[in-house]
Order: sequence, then C-alpha cells, then structure tokens
Amino acid sequence: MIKDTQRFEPFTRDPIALVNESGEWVGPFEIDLSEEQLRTLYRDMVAARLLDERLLLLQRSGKTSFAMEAAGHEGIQIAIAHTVRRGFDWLFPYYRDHGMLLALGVPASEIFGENLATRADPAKGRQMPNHPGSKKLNAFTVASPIASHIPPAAGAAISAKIRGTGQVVVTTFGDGATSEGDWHAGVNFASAQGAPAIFVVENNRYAISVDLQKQTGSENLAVKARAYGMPGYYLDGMDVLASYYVMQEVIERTRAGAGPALVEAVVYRYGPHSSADDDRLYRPREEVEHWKQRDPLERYRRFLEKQGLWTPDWESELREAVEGELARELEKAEAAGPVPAVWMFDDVYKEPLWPQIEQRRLFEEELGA
Amino acid sequence: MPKEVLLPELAESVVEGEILKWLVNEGDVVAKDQPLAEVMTDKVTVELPSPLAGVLVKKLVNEGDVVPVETPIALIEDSAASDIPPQTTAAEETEEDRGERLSLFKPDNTETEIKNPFTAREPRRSTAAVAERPRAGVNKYGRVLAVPAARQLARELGIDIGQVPGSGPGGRVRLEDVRTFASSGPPPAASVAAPAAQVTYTTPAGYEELEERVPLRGMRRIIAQQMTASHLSAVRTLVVDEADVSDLVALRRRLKERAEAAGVKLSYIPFVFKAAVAALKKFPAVNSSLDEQRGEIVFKKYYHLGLSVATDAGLVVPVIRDADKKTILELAAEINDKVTRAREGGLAPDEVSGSSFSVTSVGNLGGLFTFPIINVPDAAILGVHTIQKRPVVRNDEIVARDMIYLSLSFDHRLVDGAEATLFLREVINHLEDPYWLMLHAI
Amino acid sequence: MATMTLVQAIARTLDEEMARDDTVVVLGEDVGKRGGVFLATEGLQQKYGPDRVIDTPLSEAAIIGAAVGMAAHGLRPVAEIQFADYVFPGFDQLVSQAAKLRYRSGAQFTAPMVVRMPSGGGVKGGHHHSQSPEAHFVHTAGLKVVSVSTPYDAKGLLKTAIRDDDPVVFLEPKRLYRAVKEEVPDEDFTIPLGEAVTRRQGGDLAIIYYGTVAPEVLQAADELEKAGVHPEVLDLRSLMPWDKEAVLEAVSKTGRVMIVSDAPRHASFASEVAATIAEEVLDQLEAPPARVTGFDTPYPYAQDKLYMPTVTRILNAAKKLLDY
Repeated sequence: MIKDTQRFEPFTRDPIALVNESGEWVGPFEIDLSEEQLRTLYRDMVAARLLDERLLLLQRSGKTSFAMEAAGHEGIQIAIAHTVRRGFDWLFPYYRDHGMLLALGVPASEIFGENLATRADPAKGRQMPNHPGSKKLNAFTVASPIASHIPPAAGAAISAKIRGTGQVVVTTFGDGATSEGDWHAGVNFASAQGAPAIFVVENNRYAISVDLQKQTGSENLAVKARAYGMPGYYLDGMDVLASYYVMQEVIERTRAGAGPALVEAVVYRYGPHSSADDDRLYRPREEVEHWKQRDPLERYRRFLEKQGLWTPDWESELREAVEGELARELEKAEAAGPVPAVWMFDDVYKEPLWPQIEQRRLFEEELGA
Repeated sequence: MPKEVLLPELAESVVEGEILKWLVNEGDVVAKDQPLAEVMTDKVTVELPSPLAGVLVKKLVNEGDVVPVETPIALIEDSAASDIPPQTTAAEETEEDRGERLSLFKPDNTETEIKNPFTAREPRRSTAAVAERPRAGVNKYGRVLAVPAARQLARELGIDIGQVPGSGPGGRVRLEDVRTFASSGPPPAASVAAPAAQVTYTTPAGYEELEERVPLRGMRRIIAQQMTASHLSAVRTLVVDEADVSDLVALRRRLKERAEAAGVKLSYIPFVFKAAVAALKKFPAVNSSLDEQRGEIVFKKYYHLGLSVATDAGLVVPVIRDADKKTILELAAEINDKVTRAREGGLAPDEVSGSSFSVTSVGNLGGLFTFPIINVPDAAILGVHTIQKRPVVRNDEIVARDMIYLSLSFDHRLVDGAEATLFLREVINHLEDPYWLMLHAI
Repeated sequence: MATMTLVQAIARTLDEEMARDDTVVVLGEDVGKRGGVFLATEGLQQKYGPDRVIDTPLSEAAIIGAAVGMAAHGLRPVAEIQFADYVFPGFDQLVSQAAKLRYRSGAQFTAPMVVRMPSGGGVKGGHHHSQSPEAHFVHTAGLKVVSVSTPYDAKGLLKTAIRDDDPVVFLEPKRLYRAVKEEVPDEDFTIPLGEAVTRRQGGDLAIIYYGTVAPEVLQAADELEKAGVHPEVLDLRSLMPWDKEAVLEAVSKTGRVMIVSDAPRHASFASEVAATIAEEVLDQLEAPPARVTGFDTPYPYAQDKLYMPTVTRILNAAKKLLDY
C-alpha cells in the first residue's frame, strides 16, 4: 500500500535529517512548501518556545503549581500540528505538547486557563498544569499516567477504521512510555487491527532522570516497530522540515490504509523534567550545551536566513507580535476568574448521582453557601 | 406434617405466658377450641383453646415454663391434612446443553450442608437472652447498653434508658423493652423474674431427703415478681415514729358497741385512713407517682387507699376509693367487706388496683416494726403496728400509755426525708387527738 | 416471552442492541468466532462481522483502553473481560482513563462504554477465577457498576448500561449463567440503574444482597420463613448508583439488616452499605448492621462453596441479629 512516491525509508541507521546544523538543506528532493508555510513553521516554533517560557514564569511567580518545559521539542511538535488535518484527525498528546496544541489552533487563553485553573479552561480547572485538551480540535485531554493514552488512541483509530472516516490518529509520548505495558497493548492492538494510528515518540533520552540506556536494550526506539509489523521511522525531531516531511508521508500512508507506523523523533529537553526536578543530578551541563547546538529554532532560522526568508527585523516583529498575543491571551485567561469550588461535583457522570448531590450539599454547607 | 400451636398474645402488651397446667395428653384427639392448657400471664389466666382439630402429637413446653408469645407450645397433626407428599417433577434435559459443554467453567454444584440455627424449635429469640436484669445493663464505664432504636424511642418518651430493664445479652435494652416499660409503668414482671444477682441455691450434702421442692408458680410467682419490682424500682427509705393513741383507744372502746349495733365492726384502720388522708392533703408528694415514660411526677388529688391483707393465697391489696369522701363508719364497713372477700378470693380486678397510697397492718403476730414494701407505683406505704401499753414519760413521770409504732416506707425519689418525717408527724397528730380527727370527718 | 438463562439473556440483549444501534460494537478475547468462553456473545460475529465483534489480543489494557478511545470517538463499545479476575491489567485504563475522561476533560470527551465481566466464585476456579472485585470499581468515581443475578435483570440492565453515556462495569455472576431460567419479555425494556428489587417481603429483618450470592440468600430466606421469621429481601442489582432509599426503607421497616456478598469483607461494598445505614438510620437499628461476606483471604480452591456466604452463615447472622 505504500505509495511509489515515498521518500523515506524506515529503520535507517541514523535519524532522518533534511537541514544540517549550519542550516543547509541536505534533502534529496526539492522543498515544495511556500514561503508563507516555511515562515509559519518558524513562527509557531517561536510561539511554542515563548509559551514555554511564559508557563515557567507563571510557576516561578507562584501563579501555577507546576511547569513542564518543552524547549528542544518544537521541531517534531510543530511539524505534527502542520501535517495532520486540523479538527479532523485525532491527536493523543502527552504533557509536554502544549506547543503542538498551540500550533494546532488551541487558543493560548485555553492553555493558560488550564494552567491557572480559571474559567477559561475548557476542562474546568480539573487538571494539573500542562494537561490540556480540546474537543474542538480532536486533541484528547492529556492524562498523567504514562502511556495510558496509547490504548485509547488505538481504540479511536480502530473506530475510525470501522466507520471508514478517513481520519488518522497521531499519538505522542516520551521515551519512557515505550516501557509501559499499556504502550505495548495499544501499539499491538492497533497493529493487529491495521488501524490508522501513528505513534510518535518524542525521545528526549530521559524519563525524568533515567536515561535511554537504562530504559531499553534496543539500539533505538524506532526498531521496536519491527516486532509489531509496522514501519519505524528514525527521525531528527529537532529538524522541523525533516519532521514535517516524514510526518506528512507517514500520515498519507496511514490514511491510505497502510496501517499504523511508529516514528521516533530524536529531541532533547533543555530544561529539567519539570519545575519540581533538578536535572543537574543526572546529566552533565556539557551534554545539555551540546544538544542546544542542534536547537530546532536556531537551525531553522539559519535555514530561513539562507533562503532569504529571515531578517533580524522580522524576528523582532515576530517576537513582539507573539509576546503581545500571549500577554493578551494570558490576561484573558486570568480575567475569566477562578473556577467555582462547586464545579468539583460536575462531570463525574453525565448527571450527578446521589453521592455527588449529597456531598455537594455538604460541601456548600462547609463553604457557608 | 403436624402444625405448631403458638402461644397467642393473650392480652394487649403481654409478652410471655406461664403454662400452668396441660389439660390434654400427648396422643389425645383434640377438638377445635378444646382447652389445651391453662396459661397465666401477668394480666390474666386463661384456658388456651386448640386452634385446630387433630391429634396432639407433642407438647413442646412443660408445666411451669414461661415462654414468649408466638412460641410453638405443641404440635397437632391436622386431621384434615393429607399424607401424600407433593409430587416432584423431574426436569430432564433432553437437549444437549451446548452452553454447559462449552463454558470454560461450570457451576460447582456440590451441596453444602445447611446448619439451621432456627430449626431447634426455639423461640425467635433465644430464651437464654430474655429478661435477666431489673435495669439496663451497663458497660465497664457505666454506659448503658442499648440498641440505637431503643435509645431513640426512650428519648421520644422521656424515659431514662438506664431505668429500662434490658432483656438483651448483658442487659442490653432492646426496643421492645422500652415499649414494655412504657406501657406498664413499673418494670414488667417478665423483666424481673430473676434478680440481677441471682442467688444460686445448693442443697447441703446429706440433707436432700429433708427438703421439699415446690415449683415457683401462680400467685407465689406473681408475688415474688411484684415484690422484686417494688424493691428494685423505688428508692425505698424508712422513717419510724411512735404515737400515743390512748385517747383513740378510749374513743374506739366507747363507739365499738354502737357501731356493732349498726352492723359494723370497728377497727382502728378507718381512723388511720382518716389520719392518713388528712396528712396526704398536706403533703401531696406522698400521694404521688412517678411517670417515668413521660418524665413527670403525678400528684393525685384523689385518695385511693390500699390495705394489705394476708390471705391463704398470699398478699392481696384491696383498694378503698375516695377515702377522703367517706365517713369512718362507711370506711369501716367497706374495709370489712373487702377484707372478707379478699380472704375468700372474691375481689374483682378493679378492686385490687389503682391505689394512691397504702396502709399495711403488720403488728398482730409480733415484731416491733417492719420496713413495708411499697405498692408501686405508689410513693409510700404506712405500716401500722400493735397497740401496746408502754411506759412513757409524761410531766416527768413514768406512766403507762397505749403506744403504737408507725413506719413509713417511702420512695425517696419522690418524697424527701424531712417531708416524710413531717407527714408521719401529721398522721400521729391526728391519731393522738381523735377529736381533732373528728373535725375532718365527713 | 421466552424462557432463557442469564447468559442467553446477555447474548440476546447484545444482539438486540447491536441491531438497534450500529455504533454498538463488542470486543474482547474469544468473543468472535467462539462466541465467548461462556457463550455470552455467541453468534454475534457471524451476524455482525469482525469489525463489530472484535476478537482482541490477549490484553485487558488493550480491550478496555481501546474501548475508551472508541467511545470517545463515537462508538458504544461493549468490552468483555473474560474473568473479572483478569481486569487488573486493564485496571489503569478503567481508573485513569474511562472513569476520569468526562471529568478531566470538563465533559469535552466522554466514554459511553460497558465493560462486562463474569465475576464471583462457585465454579471451582480458585482465586484467579472466582473474585468479586466490585469494591474497586465502586470506589472509583466516574464508573457506574451493575451486578445482576437474574436473566430478566440482565436484559433490562444491560440495555440501560449500553445506552448510558458513562462507563458502566457490568458484573455477571458466572455460576448463575445457566443456573436459572426465567421468562424474559421479547420486547425492548430497560431497568434504571440504582433501583433495587424486593424479592421477599417481611418485617423481621432485612437481607440486602446482589449478584452471585442470590441462591444462598433466597434459600436462607425460605429457611427463615419456615422458622417463622419473615425477612425483607432486597436485590440491589446496581451498586453505583445503589438504591439507598430502598435500603434505608427496608432497615426502617425491620430495624435489623445484613448485607450479603461473596467479596472479601474489608473495605467491601457491603461495608459501604453498612456504614451508610449506621450514619443515616442509626436510631432505627435494633442491632448492628451485619456484613455476611466472603473471608479476608484469597478465594480458595478446595473450599469453593464454603468461602462464599453459605446458607448456614446467613442463618447464623440472622439469628444473631434477632437475638441481639
């Protein structure tokens, strides 16, 4: 079922990259993206980076309890947002994907609202920071238990197949998730059913502090796909163009009915696992600096500059515009006000059962309402 | 299948009955409504009619047994019943049960033996657990043992749960205990059949032949229960005083013959009644009762005086109603009539109930004075003793006077000690000066 | 009106619901070609095809987790876990995903799904084929829990569960699959969740039960009647929500109550009912609520019929309640 026009091979020895660290295009084919599309990829990566910084700031200023940095992951995340059919295909993101959701079209006010637990959060303040979701955009609300969203992703893909909707389901997760039983359960079931599911591991080499060598004996994560009878693409996830073109091909292939695929996107997180982590305990600074040299934003900036699509003025305009928009969105999220305490009792079931009704009454008494 | 004959609820709030005597034997053919046994409750004694015709197969209780209502007491083989056992239908599966064959696990159809604790034909509540204590049981901290529903009902009725005799294990107060307590005022006889600290009697070795054992039954049993009830429900306290009744003795002597001529045998008791009424009017607490259910003291403005009478069958207390509205002669006539009839066993139930105060004449056989048992729920009883000439000091001289000891046994919950003493004094004032007493005559 | 066993009622109901609503799909181990190891899905794959009756890999996490995704995506999956004892690999999917999806997404995503599982002992299956894990589910807000004991209830409640917009754990007492036959109406009918049914009327004590223990409870009730004791017998049928009103009513009527279940006692559903009774109608109790349950041991093999509440255990408890 794989089209003759396929550009990429699964199970390569090295990660697939199309732009080198100097920003030169090294791909074996011509870029077919418009200038506007190329610029948008950059804009969305910048926005993701700035959102990341904003969220960390909210945590540092005590407005949120927690933050999870995603700097270093932007290449693959923005590529996914631009290769799926927005609002049609389904995404099953994990907790480091806020940049991807922003690029997909989730309003920043909703993401801020989720982090601040204000009425701007469509999830009504129920989740800890960095756990967004959007029904409008078919982005399944993030759950903390690692890999627990993989079987549901498989199920959604099976449903899409049964009903012949033409949708694909793209699931993202970290390298640690590949060790979970649920990961196996979901990937295996999707494979057995030939479901339109694409599993993308954002391999940043660390599950909190445990490095990849302790996580798996496999030479890389892409090779795991072999055992499931699906192609495994080994991809430089810090190369946004490589990520874009690989995802585009994989999605097309899967949409055409070729069944699921696994994509290993090699990335690096610059920050600690979360605001509650100190990565100095487990990784040398030199390693972090080394990976920063491969920064997806800087590498792509050099690419754009070489293409004549980037100037320092445009950069400042762009940053100013994004900062301004984020500031306005944050203001909107804060202005929405905190969620009412009694919302705690809603949405446990479609209609509250008697325990929720009784306990809400008790709680209101406690509040003096 | 023989059918059970259950002990019916023979009267309102009756919880148990004593099988006094079986009137039929095992194997007898009995007709419907034929008396099976004589049953006594704390309210009535009746002959129990057979609910059906047939053969009395087995008596399930013995004479003298006290059993709760609804207890099976006998088995009667219904003469109308058929002996044919019900047909069992064989549920032969003719079709192969595909499901059974293909099921991964099949039901474990091994039979488990049933040991039914109810099949021993015991009453619904084991008799061992019934009626052990005069009051609610308590835990080691003195907290009352009671089921929640009993506590709730006691709260509603204003009953101190601690006062309710508990029929449950360890004296735990059950719901029906509160109901019984509420409906009968004093603790029901059933609940006090055995005192809290039951005394075990063991025959001394070698003396077996020199003892005769008689079942505690009938009137003696009722008396035992009522005495226990009185002893345990009231806080009994005694005050004793003496009266110089020389003038009363003289007066009675003078009037005795004229009274006899009028057909009335005149004793001292009517005078005591009159004196008591006068004192009761002055000290209403002595003429009161405690309504424990409602947590109220009932002050009675009527004066129904009981008089304890020893009979062959035991103690009987005829009641003279409205003693305050009767003359001494009328009182004397009524007392004589009732005492006579009490000894003959001819008193109606309403003639032996409803006293507000009692008098007991206890001196004839000797003894200086006694500590009378209150006829609960009365607040007090007056013991009247033998009139004897005794040396007393009058104007610094020893003289012989007609003296009498009076003992007032009172419920200290209702009557204070000083009140009791003053009440007794008031009685004495009237007895010592019968002319003053006359002023109260009607 | 047809006479059928409990497992036949399940299979018929699945058939009827799949015919009525083509978003209803069935998935689980052996549910397709074989029709389930208890034949609860017999004939469905032949009728509706492998896309709607899915033989899954041997993975409870995959079965339940995929059902969550299917449900969120618009299907109404009915997942079968071969034995309730095997739900635990899929437990995280039930607890973390199914139970919390509506809540954590602020009702953006929902999981209208049913997880059927044969539960309870009495089949000589030992501790890994005999457990009754309902307490875990009732303890998890977001799940509804049903435990049926008759063919009629199985049909009425399974229909309700399939049509419900929240995840429902549907416990089927495996020893009763073929133990009783009952007339079940052919027409479409549902029984609301949270509605108990009175099996016997009496005023002396209340026996509250559900699921597997039904035969012992009813037999004990007959024994009690013979002894002149009239129990009020209530089958809860639905454990979340459960019919608190009916339970409290039965307690008010009798003042004495036992809750019978074959699950181990500690932190059991029976404990929840007992605690609620103690909290709400303490004043009406004439004896402490009694839990008549399995023991706090794994389910043993050799003592299969002695672990679950026996008639004797129920009668002994009744005696203690009455003598209290």
